[in-house]
Amino acid sequence: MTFSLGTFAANPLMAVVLLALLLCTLGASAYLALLRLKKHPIRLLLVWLSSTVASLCIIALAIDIQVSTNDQPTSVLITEGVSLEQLNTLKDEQNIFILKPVDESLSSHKIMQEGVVIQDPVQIFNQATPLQALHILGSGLSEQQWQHLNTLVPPEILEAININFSPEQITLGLVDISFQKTLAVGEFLEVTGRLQRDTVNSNEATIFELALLNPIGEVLTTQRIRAGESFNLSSPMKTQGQWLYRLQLTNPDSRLLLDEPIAISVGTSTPLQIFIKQSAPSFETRQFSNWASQYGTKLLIATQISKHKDIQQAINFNDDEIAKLSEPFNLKALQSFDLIILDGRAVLALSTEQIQALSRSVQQGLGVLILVDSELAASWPLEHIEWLDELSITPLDIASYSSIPSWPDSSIEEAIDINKADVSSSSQQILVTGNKGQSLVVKQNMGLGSIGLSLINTSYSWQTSGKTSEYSHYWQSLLKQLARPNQSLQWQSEDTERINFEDASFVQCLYGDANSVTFVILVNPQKPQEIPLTNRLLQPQKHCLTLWPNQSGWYRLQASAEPNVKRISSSTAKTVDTYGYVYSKENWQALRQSQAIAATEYVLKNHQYIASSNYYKNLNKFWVWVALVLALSILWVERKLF
Amino acid sequence: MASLSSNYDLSLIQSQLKALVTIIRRRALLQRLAYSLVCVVVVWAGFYLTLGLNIWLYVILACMPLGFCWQLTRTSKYQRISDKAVLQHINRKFPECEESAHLIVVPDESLNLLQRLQKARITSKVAALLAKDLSTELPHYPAPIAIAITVFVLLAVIAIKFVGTQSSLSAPSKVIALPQGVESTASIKIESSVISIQPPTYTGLPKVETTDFNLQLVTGSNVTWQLTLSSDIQASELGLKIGQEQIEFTRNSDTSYTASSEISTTGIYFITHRQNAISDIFTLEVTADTPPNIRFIEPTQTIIEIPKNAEPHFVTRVQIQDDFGLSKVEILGSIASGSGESVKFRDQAFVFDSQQLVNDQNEFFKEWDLSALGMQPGDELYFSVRAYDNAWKNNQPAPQLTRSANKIVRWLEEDQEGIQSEGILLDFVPEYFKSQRQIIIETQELIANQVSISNKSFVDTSRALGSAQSDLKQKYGQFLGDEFEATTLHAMEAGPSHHHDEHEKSKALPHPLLEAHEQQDEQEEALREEAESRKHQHSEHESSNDKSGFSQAIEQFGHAHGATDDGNFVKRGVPSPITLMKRSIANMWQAELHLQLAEPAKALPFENQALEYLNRAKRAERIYVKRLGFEPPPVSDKRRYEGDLSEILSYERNEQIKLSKPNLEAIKGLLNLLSHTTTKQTTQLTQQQLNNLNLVKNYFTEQLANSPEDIVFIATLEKISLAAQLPIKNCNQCLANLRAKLWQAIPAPIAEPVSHSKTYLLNNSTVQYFNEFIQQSKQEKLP
Repeated sequence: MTFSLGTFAANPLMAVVLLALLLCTLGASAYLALLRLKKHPIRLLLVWLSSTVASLCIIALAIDIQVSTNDQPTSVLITEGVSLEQLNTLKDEQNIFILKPVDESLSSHKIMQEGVVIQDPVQIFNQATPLQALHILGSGLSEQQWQHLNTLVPPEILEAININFSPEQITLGLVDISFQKTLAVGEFLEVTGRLQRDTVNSNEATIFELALLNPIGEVLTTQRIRAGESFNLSSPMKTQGQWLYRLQLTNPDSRLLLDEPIAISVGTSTPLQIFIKQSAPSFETRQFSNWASQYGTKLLIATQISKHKDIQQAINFNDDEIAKLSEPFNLKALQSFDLIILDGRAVLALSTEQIQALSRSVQQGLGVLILVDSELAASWPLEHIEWLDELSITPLDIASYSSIPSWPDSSIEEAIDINKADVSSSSQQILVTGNKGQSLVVKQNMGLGSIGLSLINTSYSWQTSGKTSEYSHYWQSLLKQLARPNQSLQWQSEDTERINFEDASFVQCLYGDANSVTFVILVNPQKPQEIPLTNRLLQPQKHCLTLWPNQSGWYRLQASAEPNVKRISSSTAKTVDTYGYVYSKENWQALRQSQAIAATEYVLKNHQYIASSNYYKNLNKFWVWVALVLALSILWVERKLF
Repeated sequence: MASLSSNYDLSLIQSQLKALVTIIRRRALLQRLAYSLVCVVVVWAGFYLTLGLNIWLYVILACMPLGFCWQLTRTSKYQRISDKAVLQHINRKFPECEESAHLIVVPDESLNLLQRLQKARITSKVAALLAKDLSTELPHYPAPIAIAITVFVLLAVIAIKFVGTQSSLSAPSKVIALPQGVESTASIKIESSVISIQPPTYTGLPKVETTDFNLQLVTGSNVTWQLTLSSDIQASELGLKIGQEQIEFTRNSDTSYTASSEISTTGIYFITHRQNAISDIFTLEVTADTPPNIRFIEPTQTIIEIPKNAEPHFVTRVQIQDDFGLSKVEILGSIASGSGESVKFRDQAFVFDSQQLVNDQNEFFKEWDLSALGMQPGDELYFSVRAYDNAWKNNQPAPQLTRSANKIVRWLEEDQEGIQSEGILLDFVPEYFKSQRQIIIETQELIANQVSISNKSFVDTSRALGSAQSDLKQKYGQFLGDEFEATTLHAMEAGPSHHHDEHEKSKALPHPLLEAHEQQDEQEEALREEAESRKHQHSEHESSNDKSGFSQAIEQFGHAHGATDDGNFVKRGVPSPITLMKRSIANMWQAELHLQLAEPAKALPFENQALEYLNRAKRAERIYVKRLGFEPPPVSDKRRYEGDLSEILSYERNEQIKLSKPNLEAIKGLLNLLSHTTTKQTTQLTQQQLNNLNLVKNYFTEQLANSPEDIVFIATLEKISLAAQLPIKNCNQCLANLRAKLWQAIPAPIAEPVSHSKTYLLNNSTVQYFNEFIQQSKQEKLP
């Protein structure tokens, strides 16, 4: 049996004072009883005994008394997703903690009268009695909640607790969801995941239909899957804006089982700067420049018109920029470009200085795309350009060469003319393949940049035959792979597997030089508010902020070098914006369940529990109360009757 | 004795006193109850009119008066209402009590002699007084104000509810909700309305009366609005704004007004008072009178050939439909006689012989006799049907004309086999593209007629079309250089073969096709002779060093016209005409298959595809032009660019490309705005957003001619524009419908140039150092 001050633990002096008072009172009452009951020893003895018992009962009620036991006293933490069967297994004497917002779904259950509702799991450690065993029911705690717990609770306390977990039954739902949150127009949204099997009503033969719907409810694509199988749905983004697509799962009877939102922000990226150097005008570059220029891409096209003369065409450059590009093929000028496109003859005609400048620029991030022609193929390998050694071009001695090109999410079904050669790279990075598996466009990394070789010089035929979508998608795919990565101030793309929920914090980061951003505001329609940024020690160019959304919906973050909200809100301020979406807790329940179960199981797997040899439990004070009442009753009866 | 009687009197007196005390206390309680009722009624009225009530509130309200009354009984004021107080009151009220009535309840022991005597003297008087009905002499506890307030509050609640009920119950009038953002002319309300729509007389449609302000009507309808307003106003102040036009009302009686107008175009309108809108935005969806629709049932072909020795008769049967009626139908014909330079044309108008109603469709019938027309073998008749409907406009006839496709009837000069047979006319060069198109038209007609014709007729017609398709396919095959043998054409579907040898080829064929091949043996010999007599001379195939097996494909699919065929099926990014023709023929195969199986619906897509490939081949190089196999030697750099550059004025050119599509950008902007609109928050629209709204409205206005139902979206945009905020009231589903429409209006996505993002910047010093380290390591590894 052990004793502790209990409620007086915070102020032991008060306990001492009250004890002294109690003893004095006991002594005084004993003396007075003696005076009164001198002639009645039995009654005197009864009064003394009753007084003493009452005093002892008061002391016993005031302090905590624990008795040793063989059963480990277990507290129960009820988390989201707990089932009624699990609740019915609980014993009356257990300490029950109910984690919000589970209490809302259990409002009518009798457990609400027995349990304590807590906001945060840390609160279970605030009770007076040390926790010895914890049994978690339901889905468990999320990764964030476990991190929070590990941060605030000392490890030695956690190690002294035997934690068990009884997960709820797994329901049918979409889990392991992954999709890119920010895309550009024409880019394909690719949603992957898995249909989690229902452990109770599992029928492996049932074939479900999973559909991806656009924001107005039209079905874009469907896939039939069974429980436990993975899925992959994709569709191109139609226009800029913030959109809620939907994933709907129906059973064979066309009954809707699940309907989950997928929030995508479709925006624009910083316009590229592309330099095209060609030995002769071509339809290929003409159509490419027509397409790219209408989206603000800055193009400088240098076309050879004589042995030593080029004609230059600058598109979408302002006067200052043009003045700096009088000599575009030097190191300094090449730094401003994201991609350079050369045809074969242009490569062969490069001077030594130009080759050096190009080499240095590629190492620092510039992308190069070489449109292979017969002359280049015949001249390969180029001894004077040794940094192209990791790429190879082998001319083919065939009459003609056509193939159906294929790249991720491509939909071209007709063959086009291909240059009669074979290309490869030492890193085996193939961007476009033919219908027989041959490489049509390959890529090789060099330093921080990339070099691409393309056998396709007739992609313009797609544009001229009305296949503008396929044409634009082809070049978008190539530019993404080859062009220099965005170097301006930018928001980091969200992790494809992360989904933000309300009442759960998350971190969002910016990349940019230290003085390129000083201010970030979180915009909602009513009142913009500033969010403080923190820097990472090892990554000074990375600035992060933490958001604590308390409601679902879209949010917008604006980053700027302007110092206050009003200036940012003005139309002339230059800001870098990003949009994100916070999902309601009613969405993706199966995903949250699986994530919580996985996190809890992982924590328990690595949990080091140091078992105690002794277990104690609180003394049941019911009989103490009975004794107190009895003693006081005896005293009262004695006083009244006699 | 005096004491006994006084004892007897005293007990009676005390009981009487208690009764009086009870009366007074009751009055006090009633007063308290009255005032507590005021509180109860006021609280009840407040909840009833605003937040609504539930059972617990009723319980609380019921307990309130009880609580107030109970509280009163605990007050000292209430407790002071006792016998003594009553007697004190009687003392003041009745002088005969000599201010001594209170002595009655005092015991004699505590009284002195004088008091006892006084008590004895007045006891009887007090008893007599108490025996009377003193209720009127007792103090009153009036509560007229409380009662008045209670009654007033109750009546006010009843009045408010009654007025509200009356205004929602009265029909057909309704409170026409104003569009948001419109300042209401508070005193003007539309009590009732009746709208009459009188369609044009020629349509034969009945007059319609409705109370719905959103109208659907035929163009040229006369619409009359009859409104009853809540107050009397000048008729000139009341108007109807339809588009840009303002129509005034005329007064019928004190508060009844009428306006009418002829409506010809789709649009929106609202009712105004002193140029201010007093109603919501309503739509006028106008259905235009469409011209007649002509469909030939007989003859189905465009060209009808009548052999020389056959009876020069044929029949024309035409189905003509119009939404409201026809005014005139005629046949315009032109007869061509003679040939060469002496051909003569004679125009003549004809009428149908008869007209009848078949399955609610007007059918016109005419039997032709070419001889009666003065025609002779070798002459041709061209005719088309013209139909006029009975449309009127501005009180004058304005019929709409529809002219059918031309039909050609040839009375052949020589005995020739009909085109419908399996044979081929060597010197007959049909209009291929038109023929394929004709096959498509006739297939569509067959599908449309499927319900109305017999199964046998359907199957026969379908097979006839299949035969026509087969003929066309074979004719194209000839022009592609294939000898006229079914096996070769079949082989295109069967797969590549190594030899032109028929025997081996036939082995390669599938069994059903093998039978077809055997059946065609007799024709092969004749057609070979015909092929030899043709202009194109076949030469032997040049052998080529074919490493890829491509020449085998050429053998199968192509036919060299004596020159080297480089086999470039794809040149400059465009498939060659031969390839396109092959694809067309492949589709014709499929079309023929389904037509022979009496499945015209399945054949139609293949027919369309075949026509598309034919058109593409038409735009490509002519397939019978001899291609030059000569390729000039490549230009070496030594000889390149040696031209004169003196005319090149500038070596630099700068331009800004900004393709602005204001309508599309406006649609995207509005769509984005609607996507962010929630019912939880109201967003005020900026001027830029309102400008976008106008652009989108213009876009829908332009589409009205083709899609009059889009007027609903124009009305929604108008409401948003007036409200200048989102969301808007009186709009259950309109925003969602508008959003869906805008989404569909955006064209298919064209990908934009993007670069990817990394999780670091390239100018990061760590990244730079690592990069240089890797480069140095690579260089060190190189020998």
